[in-house]
Amino acid sequence: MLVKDYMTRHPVMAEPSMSLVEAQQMMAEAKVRHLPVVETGKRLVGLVTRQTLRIPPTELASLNVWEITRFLSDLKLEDVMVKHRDVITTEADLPLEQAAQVMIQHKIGALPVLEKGIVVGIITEIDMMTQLTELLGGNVAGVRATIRMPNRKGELAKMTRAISEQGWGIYASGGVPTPKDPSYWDCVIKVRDVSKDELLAVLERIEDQEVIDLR
Amino acid sequence: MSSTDRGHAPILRVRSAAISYETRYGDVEAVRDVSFDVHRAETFGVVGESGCGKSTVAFGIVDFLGANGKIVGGSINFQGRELVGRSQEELRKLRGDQISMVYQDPMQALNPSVTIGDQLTEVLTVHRKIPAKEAREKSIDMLNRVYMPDSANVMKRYPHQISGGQQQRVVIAMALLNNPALLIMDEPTTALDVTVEAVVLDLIEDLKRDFDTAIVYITHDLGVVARVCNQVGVMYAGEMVEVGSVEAIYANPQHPYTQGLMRCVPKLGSTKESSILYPIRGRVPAPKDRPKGACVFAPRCDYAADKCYNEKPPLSTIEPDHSARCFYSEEIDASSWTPPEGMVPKLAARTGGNGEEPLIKLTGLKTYYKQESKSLLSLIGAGKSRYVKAVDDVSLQIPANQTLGVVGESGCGKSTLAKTIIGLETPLAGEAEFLGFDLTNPVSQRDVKLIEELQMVFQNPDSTMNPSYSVGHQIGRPLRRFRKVPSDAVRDEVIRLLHAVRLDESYYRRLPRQLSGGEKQRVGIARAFASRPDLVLCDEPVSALDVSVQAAVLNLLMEIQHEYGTTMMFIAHDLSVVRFFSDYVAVMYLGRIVEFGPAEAIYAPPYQPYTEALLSAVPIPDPTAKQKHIRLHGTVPSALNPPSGCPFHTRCPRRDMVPDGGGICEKEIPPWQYETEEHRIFCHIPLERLREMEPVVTAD
Amino acid sequence: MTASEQTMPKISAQPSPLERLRGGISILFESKIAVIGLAIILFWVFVAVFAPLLTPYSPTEQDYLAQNQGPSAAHPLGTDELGRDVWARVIYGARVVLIMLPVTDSFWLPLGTAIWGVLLGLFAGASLGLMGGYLGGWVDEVVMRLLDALMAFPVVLLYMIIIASVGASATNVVLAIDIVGTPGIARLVRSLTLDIRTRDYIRAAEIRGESPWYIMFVEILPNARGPIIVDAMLRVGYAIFAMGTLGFLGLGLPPPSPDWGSMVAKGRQYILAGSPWAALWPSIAIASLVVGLNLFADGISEESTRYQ
Repeated sequence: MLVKDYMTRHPVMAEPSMSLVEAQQMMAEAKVRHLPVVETGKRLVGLVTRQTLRIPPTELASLNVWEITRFLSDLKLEDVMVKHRDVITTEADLPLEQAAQVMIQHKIGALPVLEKGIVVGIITEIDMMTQLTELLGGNVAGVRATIRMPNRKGELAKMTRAISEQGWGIYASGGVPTPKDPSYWDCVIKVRDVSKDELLAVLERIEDQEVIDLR
Repeated sequence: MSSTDRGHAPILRVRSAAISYETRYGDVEAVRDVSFDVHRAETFGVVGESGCGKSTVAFGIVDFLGANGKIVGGSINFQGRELVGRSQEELRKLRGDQISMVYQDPMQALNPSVTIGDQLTEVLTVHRKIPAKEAREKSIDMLNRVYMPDSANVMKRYPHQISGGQQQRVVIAMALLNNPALLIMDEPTTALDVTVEAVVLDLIEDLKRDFDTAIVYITHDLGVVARVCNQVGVMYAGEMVEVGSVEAIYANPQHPYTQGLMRCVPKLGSTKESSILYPIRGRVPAPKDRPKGACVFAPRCDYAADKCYNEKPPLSTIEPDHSARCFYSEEIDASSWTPPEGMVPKLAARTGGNGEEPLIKLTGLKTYYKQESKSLLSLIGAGKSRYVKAVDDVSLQIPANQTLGVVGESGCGKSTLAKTIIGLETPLAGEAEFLGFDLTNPVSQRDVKLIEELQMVFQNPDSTMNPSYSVGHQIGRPLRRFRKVPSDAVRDEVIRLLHAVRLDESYYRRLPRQLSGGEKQRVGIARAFASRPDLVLCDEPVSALDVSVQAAVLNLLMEIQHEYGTTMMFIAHDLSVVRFFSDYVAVMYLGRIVEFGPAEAIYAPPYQPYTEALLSAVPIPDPTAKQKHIRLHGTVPSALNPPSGCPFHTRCPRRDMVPDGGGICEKEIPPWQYETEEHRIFCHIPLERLREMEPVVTAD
Repeated sequence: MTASEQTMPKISAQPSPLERLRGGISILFESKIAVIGLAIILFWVFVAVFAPLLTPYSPTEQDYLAQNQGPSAAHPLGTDELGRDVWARVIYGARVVLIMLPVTDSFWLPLGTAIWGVLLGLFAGASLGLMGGYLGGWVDEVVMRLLDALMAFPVVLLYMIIIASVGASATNVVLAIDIVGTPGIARLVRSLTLDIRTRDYIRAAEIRGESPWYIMFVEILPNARGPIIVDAMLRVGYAIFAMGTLGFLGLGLPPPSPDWGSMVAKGRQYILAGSPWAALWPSIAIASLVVGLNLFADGISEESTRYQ
């Protein structure tokens, strides 16, 4: 689960000399919200998002109608983009959660992924959510169970053993400390090719653990 | 973890593109109304015969059309930006950074005077400003990535010092160092041998997955398409007549042209009886002769109705992800198609075969080329000459009236074998007997009676005929030379021969440049058969032809052979064609025959390991067929210095089947093991073990 | 006969020779360079053929009353130091170059000296080149080394050696042009042969057991004709130049026959004396004809390669 496995390779990119109007068209056409701006050799020089494309009204207030059109058509990406030194980026070989932390910390929706200053991809919130969905097996059929277990060693193993003894397999799993109760741990698993009742019967037999959700 | 289906817009979207070339006859529209999408991590195959505009589409994407080509309409959208109308400067930047191309001839992309290492690192150091040392490491990594053996060493070499397959891998590595969003490949494996091709195709498959690259893959080979492509566009006469997923197109072709193509490709998996080829009648029209305001395929279509001649059909969707440019695609049922009268070759029952005296018999034939050493000593005659063992200890016989197919990769000696038989090369040792004549003399010392019994059909249609003389003159020449008919009857005889190759009298006075490739090949066949020879050697007679023409020429050859009762030796690299065509097959490797037997036996276990590898490398035009995955590594050793023992031991994937673990393969020349009286295998592995092998191809 | 190909659309039938000629001419006219060159060449051929009708004077008729005159109504290009009409001498000079080869005083062959020289050079060069290229081996080595040796001589020196040893006459000039031109033609034909001999139709001929001579002259040579014709065209230019040089050095046609080179040599003495005409016109004649041939050769080679 590294950034390079989840990022979008070959992101849509633009040159600094591209006009604002064209960039807007391009973003709409390619259905993207973030546009890394690169010079020759795909070296990052800036980033444009839909917000940066919006010109603050104060800048336009002093201009008359004709000047506005002129002003807009003359604008280049290099005039409005977030410059390279201010762009927050990540590396392809970092763990995904580390990139996520950076995004949370700066409250941003996308990180260009660089390798030696060269853009190799982009990772967005959507990519993160995709990962979350896949982590929990969101797009496969199966029985999803949430089990609350004491936060101590060996509990997870007890549960997986119980399932593997039945000849079943856990397709996806994830665990978080129980909200507001750090002495417990909530674990979500997805098991395929079993019925709810069969799974429940097995899980209920495990000591100290409680099935809090089954669907 | 696929990333194709995340709602991304396609990397490349082409809509109604039209491309024209300026010629002295005015503008000629080479491509019109072509539309397709290519998504990331997906290969879009553009397939069609020559002259259908496939390459024009590829070059058009990056407007690399040369001085006289131009895009005259439509839109080409790359990652949201329109490419039509961009300046060459902008396109050059895109080509460098985001779009890469791989051509058929790798030397087109490599600089012969710069080492491979320098060419690769330059990609990274110039624009990407990566330090030289790091660029070098990355380049070596990438070479490893494309399975280049001994990559650190290859970096120091010049392009001409590595083989064609390796050159192509370097070009692919170079393209990938750019990490392009879109990779355009124009027949990248056409010039390669089938085992090398298989490795390159595997590589393309891996790269698509690992680099998320969108690939446009241009090819004429339906087998290759089935192996590497996800989506296919079939081009005919400048239009895309059918687009869809590879499974849909192969399982359920909707356009009559696609159906026709499928019927004229030899299929390896099927039996000989079911592999009759049905050519598409007529030929691809030249761009200026294409029907206008009508279906371009109508003149060759079996289903054409009036409407087809008067109205251009739109590209209509048949099922999701599959559309065809035909009015009647819903109604046409390909499975109920029957070949028109006369298209199936009328093959009389074969005579001959077992028990009869062989027409030609070679025993221990060796043809070596002398290679003068380049040392100073050799100037005074004291240098040691070495020999290229082009044909080494070949023994075989062909019964009268039968066809022997000889297969092997380039450089295996199959052409030299033919040249030796025909007298253009003189064997060093061995015996060769043909109808009581001795064949070890060069042609200049042969009796005219022998010369006229041995003729040849050549590979390249463009050089098989002398451009200065008319068709009639050239077919007539052997008749006059061998005094086959009185001189006043030559013309009639030539016309009779023209008819035999399905050409009419009007061809008598034509010059070669007025003929298409297939027609030239037919004239070449007529010329070879003019003296009514007993043995005709065919050196790759159809490998330069388009599939639909290839089928017609193959059928013709078979028919003529039956009519004249001729024995044939058919040299080819294409194992599917050989199967269809031959009674016996000889598989050659490094100058030696490694397996010999009736065609059916060669294509079924037991296999010689090299035969098995060849068969598993052949691209099969059926995406559902299951084929064993055996890849040969390394390159064919030099015939100057072939490996000791079994010539194949350096690359053999089956050495572990030899009882002592393969040690014997390096030391001793393998014995001939006879599976049946006619089927023999040149291998140390005991026959019982070889018999246990699974068949290479299993169709569903 | 089966149905499979009967329905095939017919390509246009074999064009008649006339149509092919027309096609060839139309290619020619695509190139402005070739047209200009051709016009210059045709001009000189025309004046050479109709020389007796284009001037009332004979090229050797002397007029002591009109020496070293400039252009006038009587003498359109002026007269030389012996009062001979320069126009008459220039156009009769063109005859020797382009349309007739005087073998003896009373006997002449059609086609001019320069053209005979090149034709003989072509024959010898093509034969040697074909042999070297097709037969290869020691034949090639011997032929090519000999021709290399010949090529090592400076051209003018070679001309002078040949003419000095065999004497100055029109036939000997032909011989000199032939000898000097042969190595270049042989090299060209050899390189073309080396390419053409690899074609399959040559192999087909070998398989039929054709003799080497048949293969060289019937199968190979016709396919080398394009570049050979262009080369020959250029060589006629060089030959005219060479004739001028020889004439200038006094090694050309014996006087008093009108020879452009010797006209320049004689006239040269009077340039500073105020009458440049006698030297100027023959110089222009040589230059224009050479340039015309070069333009024509360039034009056709360019046009014929463009649409291959």
